[in-house]
Amino acid sequence: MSDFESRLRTQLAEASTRAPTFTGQHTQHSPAAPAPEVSRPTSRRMAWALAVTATVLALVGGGTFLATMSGDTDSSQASCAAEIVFDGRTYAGYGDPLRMPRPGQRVGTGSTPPCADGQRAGNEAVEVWSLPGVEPDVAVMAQGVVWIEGRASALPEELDELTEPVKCTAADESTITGRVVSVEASVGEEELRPQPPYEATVKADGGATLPLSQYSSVTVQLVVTSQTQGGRDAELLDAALRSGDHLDISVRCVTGRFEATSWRLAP
Amino acid sequence: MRQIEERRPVEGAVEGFAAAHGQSLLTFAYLLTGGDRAQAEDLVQSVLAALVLRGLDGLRQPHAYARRSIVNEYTSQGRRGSIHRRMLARWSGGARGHLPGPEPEDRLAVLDALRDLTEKERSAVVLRYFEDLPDAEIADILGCSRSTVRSLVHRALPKLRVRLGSTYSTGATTPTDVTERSGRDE
Repeated sequence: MSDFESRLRTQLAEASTRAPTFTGQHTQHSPAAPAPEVSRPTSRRMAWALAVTATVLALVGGGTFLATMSGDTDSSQASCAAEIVFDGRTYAGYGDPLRMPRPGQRVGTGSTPPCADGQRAGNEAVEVWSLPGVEPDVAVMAQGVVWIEGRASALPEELDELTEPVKCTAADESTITGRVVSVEASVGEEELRPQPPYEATVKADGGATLPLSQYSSVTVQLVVTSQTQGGRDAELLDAALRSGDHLDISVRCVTGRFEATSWRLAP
Repeated sequence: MRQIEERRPVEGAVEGFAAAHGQSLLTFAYLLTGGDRAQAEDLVQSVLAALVLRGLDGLRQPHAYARRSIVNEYTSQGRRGSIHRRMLARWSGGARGHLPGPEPEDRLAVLDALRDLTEKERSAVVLRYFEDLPDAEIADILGCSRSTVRSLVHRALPKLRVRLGSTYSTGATTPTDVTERSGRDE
């Protein structure tokens, strides 16, 4: 080993002492965070999705402003919320709506504000895009998500449609493609396999029966039944949740709900 | 159906694993991310949560499995972009939320230099020079061949040397060095 490599090793060891202290395993979302709307504390179901995906699901299902989410923190933290500044206005991140619009025209460059706790330098440049049919002083898109002007407690009317759940209409089987955001399921008595029926939340960006001409992706709630091929495949689900890999999912509409007849990793 | 209360033995096993290995995994993730505390914590918690689902049964080396999962998760997070990480870090981090990135006091030259590498290069460097793994094991973790590992390191070291040149005394890093180092797993 060269002298350089020896020194590199020493430097890495020194840097490792700056690592944060492990404070234990958090299998649930932070108690300080608002409970996801999908949680059912009195049911027998166990939300065994990743902690991170549970948070994503809350963003999706809750449809709550990130600025509102951070509203529990003290004022010194307020400016640490997910915000951007564009054209003299401050926008709060909305996260993932149920229907993610396609960006319109590029309208300029914004920036991230500095964080009051000194942890964030701020002033990172972000490209800002308009939302079709929405004035930029109401909401914009940047970094792939929607940002709402000001600290409003409700979504502007122009964006109401983004929170509308996608309903199924086709009784015939069709295929959608997307990423599993979260799963809420029970596990078996003898082995840790998901036990149908359970619900899965999928962020779909492919599928002829979905309104994807208008939106870049839509969030779909579907039911996995005991007849769903791959529905008990814990490894498939584990991999899909952890890697974010896309699944090809055959669905049909049963009593107004998406029901998966099979799912597998997309090629 | 198993109720949440009945699932505790499995979670307990993972909790025990986490208690024993959580810090080392977090330290590894910290270096892997170039000193990003929030992202490192997210990575470790994600992997531990996945272990609760999977359980430890059948894992001969749970620590190695978890380390590989951290690398996989890190690579896939890189593909997904940074904005969601920032939001998640903000929210799940409660009062300490902040943008991903090194803490000001953590801006060591080596961490800055690591961030100049590609994710795979950084992974290979950390696995080799911090985790002290042989190339065969690094190859297994990264899902590539040993020769690719050597190439990754070979590409990474000159970059690091340029960045760290002012903090290190001279010490040539040549392809020969890399080959010699990797020979121990042959």
